[in-house]
Amino acid sequence: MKLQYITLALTALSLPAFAAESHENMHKMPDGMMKDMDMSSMDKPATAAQQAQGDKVIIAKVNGLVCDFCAQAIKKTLMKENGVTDVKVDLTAKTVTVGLKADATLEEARLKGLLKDAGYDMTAYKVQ
Amino acid sequence: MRPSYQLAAISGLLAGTLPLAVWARPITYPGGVNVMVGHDPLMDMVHTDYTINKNWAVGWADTNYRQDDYNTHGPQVTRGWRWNYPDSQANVYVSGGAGPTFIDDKTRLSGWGGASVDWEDRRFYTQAGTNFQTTANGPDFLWQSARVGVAPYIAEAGGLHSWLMLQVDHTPGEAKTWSATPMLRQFWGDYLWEAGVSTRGGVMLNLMKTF
Ligand SMILES: [Cu+2]
Repeated sequence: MKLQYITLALTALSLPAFAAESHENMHKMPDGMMKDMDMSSMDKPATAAQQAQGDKVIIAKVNGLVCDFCAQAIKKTLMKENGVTDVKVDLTAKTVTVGLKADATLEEARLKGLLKDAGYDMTAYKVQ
Repeated sequence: MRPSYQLAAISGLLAGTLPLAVWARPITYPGGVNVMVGHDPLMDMVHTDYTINKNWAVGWADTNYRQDDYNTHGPQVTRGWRWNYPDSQANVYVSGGAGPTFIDDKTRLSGWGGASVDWEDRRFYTQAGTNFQTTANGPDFLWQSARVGVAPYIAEAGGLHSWLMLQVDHTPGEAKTWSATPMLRQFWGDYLWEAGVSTRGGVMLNLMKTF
């Protein structure tokens, strides 16, 4: 039974982190109101090595990116989409960059939906 | 209710009432398959799970309770919930399954279930879970566990990710009810592996690959 207290204690320990992040979340603009301006609040720009290559490049800011399995899941999901030629995930900048063929489009709502289906939340979108 | 409080409430509930897979991550991207092979002082297991969507996976579980000399096989279903934050994520998994247990040359019907809650960012990891199996006219198994982990360095996507972790297990039905296992967890590409040494005597070795 002691384990129950340990697990509760662990949960309690992780709460300050939640609280801090919920606070950050409040600054997030509602859906549909994401603007290019949002991208300027990125902690760090995607590094060149973590930037997708393509005729057109889209940068999305994404919540929930913590490990390589996240990156793999997102790459595998987005590479199935028509016109997508490259996907890079930057765990530090919390961005997903998508390279597209010149004639391809990937609308904000579509990308947000694909990321949602993969288990992640897009908070900003920008066509480079 | 804010997500953080929902999660705290759910995890508290799970920890208090439900007897999970400690390291297993049954749900991956839609259409993906996770194969997990595990070995510890009590059991060996192979789990294969297909992800239907971000909330559901179906799979097959083979578990050999080596210490108690019986083995169980059958289909299982997992429901997952995730909360995403700018720098972290939290997950709750609840799973259940049923199938035959082979014990002493007899075949019995078993049911099993589990729940797990985790929270992680790139530096820290916490997880707690509980698993149970019950067998008609046979043994029951209850297993509770918790983990904490820290990443000694922060790796980028595509790099080798490493975690130093400590797992504590409580198995009330076994001769030794408590054990601790310090371990190393590493991720690379589609692979995750873990190696540790248990105070129960023996090693823990886990391998997971996503297809
Ligand atoms: Cu991840």
